[in-house]
Amino acid sequence: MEDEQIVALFWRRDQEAIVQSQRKYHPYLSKIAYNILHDQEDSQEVVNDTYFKAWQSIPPQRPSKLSIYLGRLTRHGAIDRYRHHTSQKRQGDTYAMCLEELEECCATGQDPQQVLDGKLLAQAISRFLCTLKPQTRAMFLGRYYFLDSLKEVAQYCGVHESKAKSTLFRVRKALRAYLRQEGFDL
Amino acid sequence: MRGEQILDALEQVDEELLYEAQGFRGQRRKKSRWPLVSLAACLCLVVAGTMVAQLWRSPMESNGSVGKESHNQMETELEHGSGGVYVPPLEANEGGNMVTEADVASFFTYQGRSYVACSRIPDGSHLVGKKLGTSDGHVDEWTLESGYMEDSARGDFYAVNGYDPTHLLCMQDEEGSVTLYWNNNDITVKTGSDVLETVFHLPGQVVEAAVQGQSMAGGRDIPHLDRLHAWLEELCNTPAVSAEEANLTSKDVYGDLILKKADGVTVHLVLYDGGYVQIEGLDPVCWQLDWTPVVQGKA
Repeated sequence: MEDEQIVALFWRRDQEAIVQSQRKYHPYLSKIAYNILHDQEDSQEVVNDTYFKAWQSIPPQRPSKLSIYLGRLTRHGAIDRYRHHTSQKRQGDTYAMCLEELEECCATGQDPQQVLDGKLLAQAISRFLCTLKPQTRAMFLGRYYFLDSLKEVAQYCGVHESKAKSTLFRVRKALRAYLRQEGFDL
Repeated sequence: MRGEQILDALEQVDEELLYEAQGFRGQRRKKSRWPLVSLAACLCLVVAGTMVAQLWRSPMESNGSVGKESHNQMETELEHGSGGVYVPPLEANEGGNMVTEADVASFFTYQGRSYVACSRIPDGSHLVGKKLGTSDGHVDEWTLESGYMEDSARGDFYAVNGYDPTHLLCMQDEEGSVTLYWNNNDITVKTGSDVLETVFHLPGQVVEAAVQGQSMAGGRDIPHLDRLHAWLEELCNTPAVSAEEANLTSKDVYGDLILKKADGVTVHLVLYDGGYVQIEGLDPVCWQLDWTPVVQGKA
C-alpha cells in the first residue's frame, strides 16, 4: 500500500493504518531501534510505541514520507530508552561509538546545549550535508542518523570499511569547521 | 554530552536528505562509486613493481610519472585548451576544500603511473588477469594529527581481463571482491571517448542503468537502454571541458547515473543541473551534454 493511502487510513482513524504500517515498515523500524538498543525485546517495544505515537500524531500531522516520519519516531524512542537504560555506562556499542566520534565535531569548550538552539543546529547540519556528494552524505547519515555499523555503511555505499571510516573522519572534521564558520561556538 | 546534541539535531535534519540516505541503505549495493582523489601533503607514493616509465601513448595520453613531473607541472592544478583537459598527477592538497578532502582514495604506482581505487566488484574473479606485481607499501592516505589512517593499497595487483593495463589494474581481497584501480591522473582527456571507450569499453556494453539522487530513494532504473547507448555515443564525441571553468559545485548535483556492464564493471556518471556530466573520479573534467532525455525518459 502506498504511503498516502496509509496516511489516509490514519486520518480516517482506521486501525488498518497500523496493520499496513507494520506490514510495510516493521523490519525497517526494527533495524533502526536495534542499531541503538542491541536488544530484540526492547527494540520491539520501541517499534510498537512508534505505531502508537503515529496513531496519536496523525492527524494532525500528515507526513509526506511515512518511512521517514516513523523512522524518526523510532529513533527518538530508541535513544530515549537507551538513555534511560544506560545513562552511566556507554561503552562497546554502536550508539556509544557514534557518540564518541561525533564529539570531534564539538571539540572542547561549552556544552552546545547551552549556546545552541537545536533547530538552528539541525538546519546548519542540513546545509552542511547539502554540500556533500550523495554518497558521502549517505555515509554520514547512515552512520549517525540510522546508526548503521561501519561495515554496513561500507557495504551499501560500495566501498571498503576503511574507506568509509576515513571518509567519516573527514566529514566530521569538515562539519566541525563548518559549524564554526556558521558561528556556532563549539 | 556534546555528541548527543549532534545526534539529537540529526533527528531534525531535512527529510529529503534522510530519504536519499534511506535509498542507499535499501539498495545494499555492492558496487563502488569512484572516489575523488585528494591527498594530503607529503605523501609517499607506494612504489609497486618496477618503475620503468612506459612510453605508451593513446587517445588519452599518459604524461609521465608523478615523480618525474616538473615542479611547475606539479603545481599546475589544471591546464586545458584545444588539446583537452589535463588532469594533474596526485599531489598535495593540504588546506584545500574541506568537503573535497572527505573523499580520498587508496592508490599505488606501477610503471610510473598512479592507479587510484575506483570501483569494487563483488565476485569479480573473472576479471583478474596476469599478476603484474606487488604493492608493498601502504602510505596511501593523508597524515592525520594522530597518525595515518589505514586504507592500504598493498598486495598483489593484476591486469584486468579485457582491459588495457595502462589504464586499469586490479586487486582482489580475501572475500573475493575485486577492486579496480584506474590511472586517472597525469592524463589529458579530450573527449568522452578517451575514458568511456578507451578505458572502460562502455559504449554499447551497458546492461543495467539506474539513476540515483536526492528524492529518489533506492534509485530508478532506466528502461530504455537503446536511448542511453545513443546518448553515450554522443558523450563519447563531446569535447571535455574544465570543471573549474564550468563552475560545477556539489550543490548542482542532480544525481548519479550508474552504468553497469555485463562483466560487472560499473561506471558512475555525475549529473549536474545545467546539462553537465562528470565521470566520478575525474573531477577536473566534465562534459556539457543534455542528460534529461536519458534520465527523465523524454523523447
